[in-house]
Amino acid sequence: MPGVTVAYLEASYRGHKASPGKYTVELKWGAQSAKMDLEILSNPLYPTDAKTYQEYHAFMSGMEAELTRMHQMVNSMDAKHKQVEQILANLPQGDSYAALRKDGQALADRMKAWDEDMIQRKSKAYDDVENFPNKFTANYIFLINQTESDIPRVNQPSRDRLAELTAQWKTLESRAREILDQQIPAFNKQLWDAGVGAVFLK
Amino acid sequence: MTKKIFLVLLASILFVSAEAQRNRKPAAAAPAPAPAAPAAPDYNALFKPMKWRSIGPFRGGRSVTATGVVGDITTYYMGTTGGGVWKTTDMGLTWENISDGFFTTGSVGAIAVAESDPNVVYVGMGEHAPRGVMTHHGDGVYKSTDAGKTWKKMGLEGTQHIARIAIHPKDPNTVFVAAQGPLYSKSSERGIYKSTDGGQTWAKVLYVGDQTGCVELSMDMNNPRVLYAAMWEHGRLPWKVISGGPGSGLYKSVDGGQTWNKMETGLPKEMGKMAISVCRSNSDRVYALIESDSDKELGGLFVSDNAGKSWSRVTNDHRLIQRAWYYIELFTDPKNDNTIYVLSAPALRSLDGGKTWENLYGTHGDYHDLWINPHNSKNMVIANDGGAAVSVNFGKTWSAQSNMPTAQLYRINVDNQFPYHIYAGQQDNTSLAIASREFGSGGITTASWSASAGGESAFLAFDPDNPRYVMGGSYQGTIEVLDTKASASTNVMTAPIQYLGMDAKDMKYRYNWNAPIIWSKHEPGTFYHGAQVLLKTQDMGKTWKEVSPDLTRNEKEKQGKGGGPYTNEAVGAENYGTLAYVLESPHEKGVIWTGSDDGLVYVTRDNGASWQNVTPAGLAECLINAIEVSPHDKATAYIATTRYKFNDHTPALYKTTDYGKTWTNITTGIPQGAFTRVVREDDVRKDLLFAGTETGVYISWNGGKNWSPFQLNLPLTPITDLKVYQGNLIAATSGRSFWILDDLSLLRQYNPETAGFAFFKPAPAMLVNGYSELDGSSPDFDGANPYRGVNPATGAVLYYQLPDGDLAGELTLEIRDAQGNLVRRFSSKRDSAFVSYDGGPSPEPALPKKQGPQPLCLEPALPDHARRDRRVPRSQLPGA
Repeated sequence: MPGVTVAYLEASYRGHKASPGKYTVELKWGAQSAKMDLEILSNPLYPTDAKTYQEYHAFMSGMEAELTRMHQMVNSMDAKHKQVEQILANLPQGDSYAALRKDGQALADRMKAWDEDMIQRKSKAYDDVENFPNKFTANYIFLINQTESDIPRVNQPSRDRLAELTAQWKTLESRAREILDQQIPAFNKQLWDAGVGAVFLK
Repeated sequence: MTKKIFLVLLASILFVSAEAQRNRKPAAAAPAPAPAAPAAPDYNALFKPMKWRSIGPFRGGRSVTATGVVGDITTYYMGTTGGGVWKTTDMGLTWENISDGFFTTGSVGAIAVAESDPNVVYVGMGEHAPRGVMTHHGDGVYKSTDAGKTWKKMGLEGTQHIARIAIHPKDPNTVFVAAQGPLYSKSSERGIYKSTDGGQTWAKVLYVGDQTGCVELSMDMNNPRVLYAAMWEHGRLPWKVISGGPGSGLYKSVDGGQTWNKMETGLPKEMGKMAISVCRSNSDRVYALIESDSDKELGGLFVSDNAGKSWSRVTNDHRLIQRAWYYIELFTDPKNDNTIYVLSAPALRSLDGGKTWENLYGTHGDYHDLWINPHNSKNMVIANDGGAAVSVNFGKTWSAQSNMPTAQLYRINVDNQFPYHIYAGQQDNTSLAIASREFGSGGITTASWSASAGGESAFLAFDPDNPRYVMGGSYQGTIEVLDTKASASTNVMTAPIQYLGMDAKDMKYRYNWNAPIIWSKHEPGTFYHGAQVLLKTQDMGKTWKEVSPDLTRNEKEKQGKGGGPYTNEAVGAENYGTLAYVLESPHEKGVIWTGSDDGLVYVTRDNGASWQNVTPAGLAECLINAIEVSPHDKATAYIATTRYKFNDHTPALYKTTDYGKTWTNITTGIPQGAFTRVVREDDVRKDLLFAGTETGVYISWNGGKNWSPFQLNLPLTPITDLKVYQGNLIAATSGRSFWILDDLSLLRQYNPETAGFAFFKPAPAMLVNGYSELDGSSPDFDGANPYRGVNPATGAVLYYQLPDGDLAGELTLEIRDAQGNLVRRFSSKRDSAFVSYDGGPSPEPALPKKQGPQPLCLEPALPDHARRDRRVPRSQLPGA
C-alpha cells in the first residue's frame, strides 16, 4: 500500500499474509519464462479453516484497495493543491483578477481542509503521532492493521468500525469528487477565460 | 562456471524479500579442494545462496587455552576444541570467532599474545588435554600480526597437539612452541621448537624421544633466557591412555633453549604428566606439579627455591593430581610467589605456597588453562570444559559461558513435534533437546532448549510422535527414562554394577562411551541398548534381555586397565570391544545392523534369532562410527568408518547393495585427512549422499562414486553426525553446536546438465509467525547471530538460475492465486520514483539480476517503531 510522503503513520503498509492454498509463480526473462506451482501449507497449530481465510482475505483486500485509492487521491489532490497555490502566487496584480484570486483561494482552502481531514502532515517522526492528532487514513490503516492477524479472523468490531469509516469516507470522497470533478474544472475555466492557464487534471 | 543460482525469499506471498548473488571466490571455510572428478563444479560457489544456519545451543564447549592482553583489560582470546579461536573485546559479554576462513583445523591447544606487541598473536593447534573422543588433532602454528583479523599458517603441521606457546617479553619474533605431538602414534614431530624470526623458521631445541612431547613450558619473564619445561611420555591406544614413562622429565635451559639440563634432585623417578611454573615475582621460586606412582603416593606439588637446583614436595593432596592425563595444570600469581593455582576437576588456589587450598566457583568445571594479568592479579581468564571466562575480582565472579555456540555434540535424533526438535548429548554437559526454529520471534534462544535424558555422551531415543519419554544414557551403561512433563527420570540400567575403576575384561557388559540407544519403529514400546551384546527392553526398562551374542572382536588383551602406568583411567571412554552404532532398518521389522568400535559389522534379518558377520572383507580394525540404510532400498546400506585412533586419517566409507554380502569403498574425492564419521542419503533423491568428516561436509550425486566439498558457509569444524529430515540437512559439530541447511529441495532438482535460464520448483511454504535474518539476508550472511540461533526463512524460498553473459532485459516474477488473480509482481527494475521516509512504506524488492556478488538486503531491519509493541503488533514486524 502506498503512503503519503512524508507523513509518519503508525502503521504497517505491507499487506496481509497470503492464505494457505495453491499458487503459481512465473519467472520471465526476455523471451524465456518458467512457471512453477507454489503451495502454502496451513499451520497445524492454527485453527483457521478455509472459509475464515477466504473471509479474511476478501475483507483485508477490500480495505487495502480502498486505502490505496485514498492515498492516491490524497497525493493527487496535494499535487493539484500545490499548483493552485502556485497559480495564486503568480497571478498578476490588479482588480481584474480579484474574483479569480478570491475563488482560487477558496478552492485552495477547500483542498487544504480536505487534506487536513485526510492526513496529518505534521507527523514526521515516531513520537509525533502522540503530539499531532491522527486523521482519517491513519484511522483507516489502523483498522487494517488491527484486523490483520497471523491467526486471522474478522471480528464484528472490525466490521462495525469499517462501516463507520466507510460512512466517513463516503462524505470525504464526495467532497473530493466535488473538488476534482466540478470545482477545479470551474476554476480552470475561469483561468482560461482570464487568459492565465489551468491546473493539470491528468 | 557457466551459470549461477539466485535465491528469492518470499517471506510470505504478500511480503516479499529477495536476495541473490554469485560468488567468485571459494567459500571462506572451504576445506582443501578435493581431487574430485574432472570438471566437477565448485559446489561451494554454485550453491552459495544456500545458507547453513547456526541454531545453537549457546552453551559453551570445551576450551583448553585462553589468554588476555597485557595493557588491555577488555580483550581476551579463547581457543576451543573444534570451533577455532574466539575473541572478546568487551570482557566476555560477547565472543566472536576470528579464525573462520583462515584455519584448516578447528581444535586449539595454545594461544599467546606478545606482551611487547599486542598485534602479534600465535596459535598452536590441537588441544593438549587429549581425550579419546571429542578431541581433535591440529595442524601446526598460526600467526596474526593484526590482533586476529587475519592469520597465516607458520608450519609445524605434523605436531598435531600443541600445549603451550611462550613469547619473549620484549621480542615478538622470539617464540617457543611446546609440541605435545601426535596422540596415537610415535613421532619425532614433538618436543620444543624455537623461532627467532616470528615463526618463519623453526629449530627443534629439545627432543627426548618419539613418545615424549612437551606439555608445559614456563619462561622466566625477568630473564627470558631461562626456560623450564615439562616433558611428557604419553600416548593413546583405542583402549588405553598412557601417561608417563622414562621419557617424562623436567628440564631447564639458561641459554634461551640452546642447551637443557634435566632436573632430578628431590624429584620422583617415576614421572607422568607434569606442569611447571616459575614465579614472575621471584625468579628463584619454581613450582612443579607431578603425576607419579599413585599407589606409592609419590606425586604431588613440588617447590624449588633455588631456581630448580633442588626440589621438595609441598603436598601430595590428591585433588591436585587426580586424573592426571586430563589435567595437571599449574599457575603462579605474577605478583605473589605464595599464591598458586592448580586446575583439575575443581579449580584450586593456595595462598600459602601450597599448604592449604580453596576452591574457585562460579564457572563451569574441569579446568585446563589460566592466564593472570601480570599487572593486576585480580584479572584473569580461565579455560574449562564450558569455554572461557573472565574475572576481574580474583575469581569471585566470572563472565558468562551462555554466549558461545561452541558445543561439542554427539548423535542427532529428531522428533515430529511442530516445529521439530533436535536431540543430542553435549560433551562435558547435559544432553539436550532444542527447537529447530522458533515462532513469534527472530530466532532460537536459551528458552528454546532443555536438558534431556542421560548425560553428556547420550544417544537419545523416543517415539518421535510422542516424545514425552526419552531414553538416554551416560557412561558405563547408566541409562534412564526421562519423563519430560515431570522433568524427572527413572533409572533403568540393565545390570546396576559399578564399573568405574574396573578392567573392561571384568565387566559383565562393556559399553562404549557413546553407547547406542535406539527406539524401534516397528515394535511398539521397544528400545535397544548396545553393550558388547545388544540389549532389548519392551517395558521401558523394567526388564531387559540379550538379543545377540558378543558382536565385537572381544580381544581380552585390549580390555585391561584404561590408563597407566601410574594412574588408571576408567570412566568408560577406553572400554573397547563395544557396540558403537545400532540401526533398525526403517523398511523392515526385525532387520537390525550393528557396528563395533573395533571394526565389525553385523546384521540380523530375523529379529535377533541369528546374526551374520557382514564386515567388509579385509576391513582393518577401525571404529564403525555410523551406519545408514538407504531410504530407497532395503538391501542398501552405508557405513562410515575411521581409524583415527590408529593415527590413520584416511576417509573410509563403504556401501553394500546386498545386505552386507559385498561392500564397495566409496570415498573418491574425499581428501586424505578428512576422516569420516557419518554418511547419509537424501530421502527424496536417490544417490544424493552427504558425508560428515573431520574437516567438513562432502556431497555425492551418484551414490558415492565420487564426492565434492559441500561446506558452503558452514564453519570448518569436525562433523559428528548428519541427519536428513523434513527437507533439511542437520549437522552436529564438535565445537560449533548444531547447524541446519534448509533447502534440500534445490539439491533434489539440481542437474549439472541444466545450463542457462532455469527456475526450480519451490518447496511448500508454511504459514508461520516469526522472522529470520534469512528473510532478507545479504549474500555474505555467515548464517550466525551473535546472541541466538537463526530461524529458517519465514516464507517460501525460490531459486532460479541465469546464464553468464549479457543479462540485459527485465526479469519479472508474478505470483497468481488458484483463480489466476495476480497476487504480487516483482521486477528487476527498481521503482525510481520511490521515496523513503520515516513512518512510510518499504520499497518493493527488486529481483537481482546483475552479475557478480550483490549485497542486497531488500527487507528493512527492524524499524524504530518496532521497539515498542504497544502500538505495532508483533505480527507486523518485518521479518520478513
